[in-house]
Amino acid sequence: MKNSDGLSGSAPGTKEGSPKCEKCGATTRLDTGVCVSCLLHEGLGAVGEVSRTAFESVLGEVDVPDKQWRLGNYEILNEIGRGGMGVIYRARQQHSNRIVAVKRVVSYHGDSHETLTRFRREAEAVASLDHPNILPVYEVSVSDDGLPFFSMKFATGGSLHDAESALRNEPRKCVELMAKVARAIEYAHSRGILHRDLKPGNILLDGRDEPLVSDFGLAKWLDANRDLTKSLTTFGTPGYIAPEQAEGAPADLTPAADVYSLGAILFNLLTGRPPFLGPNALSVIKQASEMPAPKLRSLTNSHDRDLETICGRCLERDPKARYQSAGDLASDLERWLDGRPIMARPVMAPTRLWRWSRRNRTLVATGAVCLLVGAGTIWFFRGELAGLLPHERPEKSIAVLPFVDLSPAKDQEYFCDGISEEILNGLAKVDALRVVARTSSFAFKGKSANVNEVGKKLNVENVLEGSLRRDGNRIRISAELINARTGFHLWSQTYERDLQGVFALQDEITRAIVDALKIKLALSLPAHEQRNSEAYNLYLQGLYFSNKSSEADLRRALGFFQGALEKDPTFSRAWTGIAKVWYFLADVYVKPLEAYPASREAALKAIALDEKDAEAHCYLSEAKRVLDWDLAGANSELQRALELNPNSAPAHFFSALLPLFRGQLQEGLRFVLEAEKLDPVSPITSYVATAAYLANDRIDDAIAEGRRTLQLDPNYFYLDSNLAAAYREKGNFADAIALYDKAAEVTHFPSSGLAITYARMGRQMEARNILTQLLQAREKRYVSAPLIAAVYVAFGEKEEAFRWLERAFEEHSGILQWIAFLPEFRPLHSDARFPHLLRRIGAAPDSVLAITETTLSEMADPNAENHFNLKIGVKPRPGTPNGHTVRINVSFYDVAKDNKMIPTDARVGYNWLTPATDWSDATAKYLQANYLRPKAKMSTTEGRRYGGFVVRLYFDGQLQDSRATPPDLLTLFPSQDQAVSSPNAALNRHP
Amino acid sequence: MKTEVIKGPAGDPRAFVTTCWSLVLSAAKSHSPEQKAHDALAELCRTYWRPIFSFVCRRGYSMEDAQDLTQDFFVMMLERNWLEHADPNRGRFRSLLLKSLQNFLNNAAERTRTRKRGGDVEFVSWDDWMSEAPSQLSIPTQALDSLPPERLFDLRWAATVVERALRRLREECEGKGRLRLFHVLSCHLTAERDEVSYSNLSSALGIPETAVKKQLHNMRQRYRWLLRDEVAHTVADPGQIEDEIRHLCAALAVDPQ
Repeated sequence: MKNSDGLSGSAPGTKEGSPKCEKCGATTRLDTGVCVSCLLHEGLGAVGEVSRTAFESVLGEVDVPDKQWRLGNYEILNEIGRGGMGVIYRARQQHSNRIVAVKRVVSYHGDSHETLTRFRREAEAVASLDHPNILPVYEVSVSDDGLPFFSMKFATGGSLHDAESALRNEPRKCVELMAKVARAIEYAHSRGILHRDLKPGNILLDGRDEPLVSDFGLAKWLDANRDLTKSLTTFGTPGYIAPEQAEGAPADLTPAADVYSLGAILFNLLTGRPPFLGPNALSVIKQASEMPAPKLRSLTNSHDRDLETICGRCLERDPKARYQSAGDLASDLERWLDGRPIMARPVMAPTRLWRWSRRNRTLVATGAVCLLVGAGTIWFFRGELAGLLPHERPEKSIAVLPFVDLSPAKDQEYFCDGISEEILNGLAKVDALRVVARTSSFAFKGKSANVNEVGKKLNVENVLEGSLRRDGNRIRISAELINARTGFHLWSQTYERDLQGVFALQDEITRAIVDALKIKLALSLPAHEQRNSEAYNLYLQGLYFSNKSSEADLRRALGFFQGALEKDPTFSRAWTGIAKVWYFLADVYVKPLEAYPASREAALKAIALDEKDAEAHCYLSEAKRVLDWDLAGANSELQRALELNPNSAPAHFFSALLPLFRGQLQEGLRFVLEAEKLDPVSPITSYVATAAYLANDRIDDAIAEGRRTLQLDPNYFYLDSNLAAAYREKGNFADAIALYDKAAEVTHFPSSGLAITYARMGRQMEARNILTQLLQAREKRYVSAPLIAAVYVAFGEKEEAFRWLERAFEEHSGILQWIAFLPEFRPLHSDARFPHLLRRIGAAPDSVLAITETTLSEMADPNAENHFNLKIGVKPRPGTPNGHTVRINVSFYDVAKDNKMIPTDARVGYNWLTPATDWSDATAKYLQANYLRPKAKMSTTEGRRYGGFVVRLYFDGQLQDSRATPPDLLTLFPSQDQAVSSPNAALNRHP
Repeated sequence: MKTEVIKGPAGDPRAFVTTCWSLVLSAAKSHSPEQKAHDALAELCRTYWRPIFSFVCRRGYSMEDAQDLTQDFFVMMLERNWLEHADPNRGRFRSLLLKSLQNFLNNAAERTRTRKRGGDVEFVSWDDWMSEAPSQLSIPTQALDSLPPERLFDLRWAATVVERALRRLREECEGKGRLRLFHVLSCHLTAERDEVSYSNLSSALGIPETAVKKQLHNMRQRYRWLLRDEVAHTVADPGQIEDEIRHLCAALAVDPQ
């Protein structure tokens, strides 16, 4: 049934604030407010003799024919429409005989008297509006059964909804109509009345096709039910209501909400559809609040740009960015009709944006189906843009869009991307400027997005865009800096240079932008060195392929970078490029022990040539993390990178992972969300945020974030989906499996996550099959060992799991540290081997207790062959509560005759230097341990001598810290169970 | 679907002879693809397209993809001999349809990406649907966000059944010039006896209270019959009607959480 009568409200059919049916507790209702479940339940009741004939004969028994139906003074003639709030009839007024429309509010048991009274009062206020383009309300009254109704002018011309198709090809008529409607709305606003539910069905036409706006303020009656439901019948009509109307408190609505609706109606008249469509109300509302409205001319070519601008201005998501009043809109529409320039300033990107070819986004599946993937293997995957982050826009912020290739042969994409990226990198070094990361700004490549949209999506104030034309050695670059909010061009310039001049040109553009944004520089910008242009060309090609994801492309990139270095061995950025490529190859395609050392070597060369290369520090950091298990060292490299380039996306991103590795889950999440601000439409950041939510047991947030990842890039299936993992944690196996299956179609690779899911469901056979496939795949190519370990964890086979984790340790898997926070590995947490492994890979949580000191001194003891004293300092973190078990385990080792390390048989003893009775006091406590080997009298000890010691510190059974001299004793005697060690150094149970 | 496709003495729910679904089933069993059975299946699909579409959307497809997939699904159902794969011996139309739809989506994921849009037969007219605008349902946002697709499918299904029964009731009243009676009484169909103010209704309609009671009873009885009739079209055997209704009620029930 068409809703052309414009009835907008729902009946106040349920008790306010209570979405549940009082009878059965269900929440789904028909638009009339009746509970679907109760209606269904009726079907279970007894059925008597109810043939159609019998039914109709009973109907005929009473004398309530439709034609004698009266409401107050009105004789009801026929129904002309219905909606959530009631039914509307054509009726005849007694005495005067005039034909009117009568709207009867349908209600159900349970309505409060107060609601109806308020409704009536409001309707009376609306009835006081007097404007030629507002439908007059004649009377507000109450019918015999106590329900309100009101009568109004009967508009013979139907509604705009009915007239839409006739108006489609008459933009002038549409604009004339809407100008009048806007004036009518301006009048109502001046009387303090918002409409709240403007839509084509609410704009009626009289016999001369003059518009008459109806149903003022009625949508407000739905506000009481706002929580009850968000279907369109309850609070306005999706597609036409302003996004803030769907979100904010009804009391906060401003006239701008009606301005939005007016724009949406105009949009609909001109294009034949409202700005947003969706399968249900909610999806339409979501789109309206998350995405910019489509451009008028993206749906139809026949309209001019001014109309597009006018619609666009009305449909701004930010109410403040719209016309400030319906009157302003009316004026602009009138200007358009008169052929005068409109006032709304276009926020359009240059027309060439439209010509951008839609780049084939098909990304090559890497086959790296990882449940957990090292940060770096993934952060560079770019994807679809979507979603918005509601952060405040910093004033000094910029997104650099990839320059458009205008070269005759269209073969300069790498050059355009490269130049844009170089300019981006140059700007990123400006401390006072926030520069959106490459992954996010390049997501707009080939998209017909205007700068305003870009600004909103990336949360930046300014956008730099440009084009490049290269003809042999000649380069022509046009660049424009635009304020994304106002559409104002801050700066634009066209340059013509030789290839050789391109370095200086990049600096020139960077400086021009800094000037245009009035940024005061603390330090002068580093200048590009003059380079061999052949080498530079090769470098840019390398850069281009290094941003792709397939192994073949990455290896091609390597070739280009090496080529560049052959031409110019001092080209530090080319070394950085090599470090980057090896880094991306690692874990996914190449064994970490091949790739990370190569990456480190290149990064070190780059740093040797240019210590200020932030990116090279990032890759060095990753090499330290993986090759040395040195998170502190990794962190210091990242800190240096951030000093050099405060906007470095990889540095932020890697830094965010460090707390997660250390088990600081909340902090990690906070960091990831911070990183998301800098790289708002990067699927990888969203992917890691999903993992961080999961680590924090915020499953629903993880699901929401995971869905966002897929929104950003629907093909984000290189890795095992974190969203699927979140579904699994939620117990929603069906959705998890569906996602894994979808991923498998892209990657053609067995999925560890799917195996885990099956294992959790008890579908062991299927899980085993996948595991077998994974093991087989590993014979042919590198498969990260933790992926396999995770499946064994799901099977409950701890021994195998640890065996694979040990293998990951030996292989220096770049994703091994992720076990510290992924829920899949939680079953291992209670095993003593787990904290020990974490410690060995540098991923142990920050300790409650830490070993501050181990000092070994040799005692002058004439009776002893060896006599050592070991002083051990232990310090609790401030605020550590008492009542826990602290255990310190000291083991001494001897070197045997064959030079092997064995547990000692010497005499050992311990004592506290300071009796530690209070662990809540954060001062260091000391323990002294002695090793005494008396002068040999018997042959049994012959050949043994002091070898070393291991100290392990436990808090409630959890390993907190360990020290060893020599350090490899820790790996030689990995757990205290294996070490035949001395008795507990101290057992300290506190009250 | 025609209003009165039921043969046999009306009023006895056990008297359904040929319902859409039984027609389809018998054709499948006899391996004789009759036009009538094909039409009946087409009619069923047309009736229950909304649950299907909701399900597809809820599985995360864009609206365009969901539209295409829904159309493709219908085409698959009608062109290929769907029931040969669907094992008609077990299950009702709803559950078989859902199962097929799930299988279809699992296989269809990649196909949609490469498929060219626009060239195929439109089984459901999206334009009509779009202009129809409001979905007739109010579902709490929370439920929409959290319900698994299968639940949403059942929920939509239940609503479709109810809406169709109500629409038929209304049309029958309107045909007899008793639309007003329908309007006044239909909102009390599910009300308990003591919740109805017969005196108010009596004065609104201008008939005695006893007459109001009788009319409401009559309307409720007819509604129940129509509802069961709608359900009957989707089950093989009238004995399954109540089970099916119970299943749908369960889908609507609120989670204990």
